[in-house]
Amino acid sequence: MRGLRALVGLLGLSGCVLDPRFLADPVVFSNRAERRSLDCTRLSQLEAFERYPGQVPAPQARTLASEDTTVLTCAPRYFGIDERPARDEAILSTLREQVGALADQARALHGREAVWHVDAFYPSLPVAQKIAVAARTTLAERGLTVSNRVPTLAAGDVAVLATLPPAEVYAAACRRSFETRVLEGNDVFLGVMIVDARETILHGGVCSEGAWRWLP
Amino acid sequence: MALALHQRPDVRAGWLVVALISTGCVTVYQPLVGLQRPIAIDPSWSNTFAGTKLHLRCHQADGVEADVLCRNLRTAFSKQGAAVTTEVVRQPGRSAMAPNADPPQYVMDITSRRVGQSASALSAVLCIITFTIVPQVEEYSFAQDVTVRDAQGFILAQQTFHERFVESFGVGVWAVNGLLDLLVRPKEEQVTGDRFKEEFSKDLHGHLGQVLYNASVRARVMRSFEPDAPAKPAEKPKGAAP
Amino acid sequence: MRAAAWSVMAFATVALSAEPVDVDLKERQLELLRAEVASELQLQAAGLLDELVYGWTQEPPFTVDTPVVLTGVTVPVSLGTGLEAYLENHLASLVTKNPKSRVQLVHCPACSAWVVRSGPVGTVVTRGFDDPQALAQGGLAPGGKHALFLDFEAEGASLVLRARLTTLDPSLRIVSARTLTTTTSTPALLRSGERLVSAQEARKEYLEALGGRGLFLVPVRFGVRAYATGTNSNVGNVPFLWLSTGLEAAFSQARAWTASINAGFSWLPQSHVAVMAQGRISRLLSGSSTSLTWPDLYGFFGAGVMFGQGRSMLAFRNTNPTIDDIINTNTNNEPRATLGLFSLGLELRVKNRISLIAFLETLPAIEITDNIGTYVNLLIRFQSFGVEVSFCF
Repeated sequence: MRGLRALVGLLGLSGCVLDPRFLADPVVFSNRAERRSLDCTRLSQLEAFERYPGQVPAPQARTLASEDTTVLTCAPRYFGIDERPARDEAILSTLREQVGALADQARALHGREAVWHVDAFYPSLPVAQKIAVAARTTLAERGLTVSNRVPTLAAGDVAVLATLPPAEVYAAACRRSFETRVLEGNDVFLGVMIVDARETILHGGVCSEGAWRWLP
Repeated sequence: MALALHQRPDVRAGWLVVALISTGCVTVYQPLVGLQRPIAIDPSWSNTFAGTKLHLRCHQADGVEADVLCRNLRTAFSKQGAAVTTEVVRQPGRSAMAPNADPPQYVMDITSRRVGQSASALSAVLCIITFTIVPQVEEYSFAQDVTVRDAQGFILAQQTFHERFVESFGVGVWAVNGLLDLLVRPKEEQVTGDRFKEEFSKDLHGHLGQVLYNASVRARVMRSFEPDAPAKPAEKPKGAAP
Repeated sequence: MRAAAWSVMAFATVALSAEPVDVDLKERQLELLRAEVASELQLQAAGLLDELVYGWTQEPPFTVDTPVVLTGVTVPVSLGTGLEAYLENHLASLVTKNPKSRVQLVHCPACSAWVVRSGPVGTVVTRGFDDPQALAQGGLAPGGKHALFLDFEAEGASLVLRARLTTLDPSLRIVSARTLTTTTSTPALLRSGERLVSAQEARKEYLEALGGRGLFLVPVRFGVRAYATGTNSNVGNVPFLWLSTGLEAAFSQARAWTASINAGFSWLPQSHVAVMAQGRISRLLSGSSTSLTWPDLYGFFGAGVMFGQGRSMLAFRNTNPTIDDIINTNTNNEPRATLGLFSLGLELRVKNRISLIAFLETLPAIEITDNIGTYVNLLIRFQSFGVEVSFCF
């Protein structure tokens, strides 16, 4: 099935007037859900030829010079838009980009001697774990020292923190983590979270030496 | 000698007229980048942006009427509770926004542009020689670059959307799809008429709303959740018209 | 195949069904969707594991063979299937076949079990691999000093594998981390576990497989053409057996468009000797490029000229055979005919090697239907139907 859908993927060469697919663009025969199940991007014919050899013909010298011919390449998404909750899907679809940007910002704040701990705060536990794993892996790939250990405050602390508004909870948890030596010395904590139920972007904050700082 | 009915010139002309009158377009909209992703806000909710002052700047670009875009977006955001002002920027980098006693909290810049158009000469020829029974197919691609800044000019959100429209022109394609729309298809699957415009507008307005909402949350986080202080009058941007 | 379906499907788009209203039905549909997604993911996920282990063989994460506990595999959110077990087995198989990776998987049931530990700050419930101290205190030595975490997630159209190797001590330090995605790796190929290759090498092999097909082929075709029985005849026309060969050229590696020229020969004792020259232009209908694994369907248009001599050629004249014509054939003055022909047909081809061809032909020079009738009349009369088996070299 995916193979067939992938065949549909290469939707055509603009400017190739003899291509009979122009008489029957695949999108005309697809329903709304199918049209929305593709991630598409437009490439130059040369780039498309390099990425999809055998499916896109090599550009001719004349085409290379003009660079007018483009190829729309589409890949089917693994999950349709209704298969996972909207906010989860929106965040998971852009997880690499969002976490990568936060990791870069966090790395700029502390030197290589820091030991990073990461956790994510998201209403759905499986998604929170995905975010945390992505952040840990990305930091480690950037050459930082990262621990897989999640700092855990005592139950009493957690009960108190749960009563605080978001404006205070992260700063208080940070302070408390260093006070109770859950974090110490060179430990730096990166928290990745959403702070509003209707947003689809991730925010980051860094806890170091008992001080909390939001990433821009 | 009397001609057979199908050979009479008036009957032939009649058939031609019927074919031309009944010829129509079927346009299919396909979101390409960004627009097919789900959103978490409900654009039909009337107070999503209650108390939000938004300035919309629509930049003129090839193939798109910026003033129409701005007008439609103003309506869409106003319905969600925002106080919206609009501005059409005809020349790149020449914003006319003057210092204001009551400056907006957010400035949204939108450049909608046509990124591609293609038509098949073969399909046009076939369309003509078959009296439009074989459809002529044309494709248009557009992109929207969106940036949201706060009153001080700090970029809060940036995103680009892409979509394309495939237009089939011909009596066959129009008649068959018209019948299916009339008899079989649910409303959200219909393809004749202006349905593609509604679908695209719904997507674009929803995603622009989501971009603005994300920007407003980011602004809150940047303020460490402090209440929004009254914005200082914006400085006159560089290159602004006198 | 889908392209062929489009051309037959008139102009209608396919979305005809209304939304299901039954909640159970929707749930069942979701289950089916999950199963479909899992089957699609399986090959891609296995490909990513291949790439991960290949990376270890090139740059081992450890200098010596090191026991590693596989703490488990997490699959994309909302995909509750048996995919984890398949991927664990695949990884174990790869690591066993590739000792150069320096990773030796060891079994540790306690590592993935929930453990409870009470201390001064309270009672902590956690998985064994998150709290090695608790395991040690309980006498449950993990059998290895490192743990491997594998996480798969579907991010839009990409499948992403995040792999982390950590120490199994209180610091749980990550010693190696890699993110692999299907967008950067090669298409999932059924690679052999014993001979893993890099993404670049896999791509090179793929290109070589494509290039190996060449732009030119020499087809050898065995075929038969049957001619419709004429209105003035009770006896069917003799079918012509043909052997032909020529040259086929593709316009690109995709072989979406091809052109061929052929010379054919036909002989039947006491009946005819004929030769033919024909050209064909073919278009791939089953996709945008030929498949390495599935048959390809082409549609073609051809034009040619046939020259024949012998008694069977009487049928190709625009007059009814007379007794003189038939007598003349016995006096070595055999009837001859030269005909132009146009053909339309379909060709089902397997891996550019063997194909089955069926076509209809029209002979525009034949104006009467007395000798040769019509099989199909689509504004143009098709008097001949043929089938061929073709071998390409």
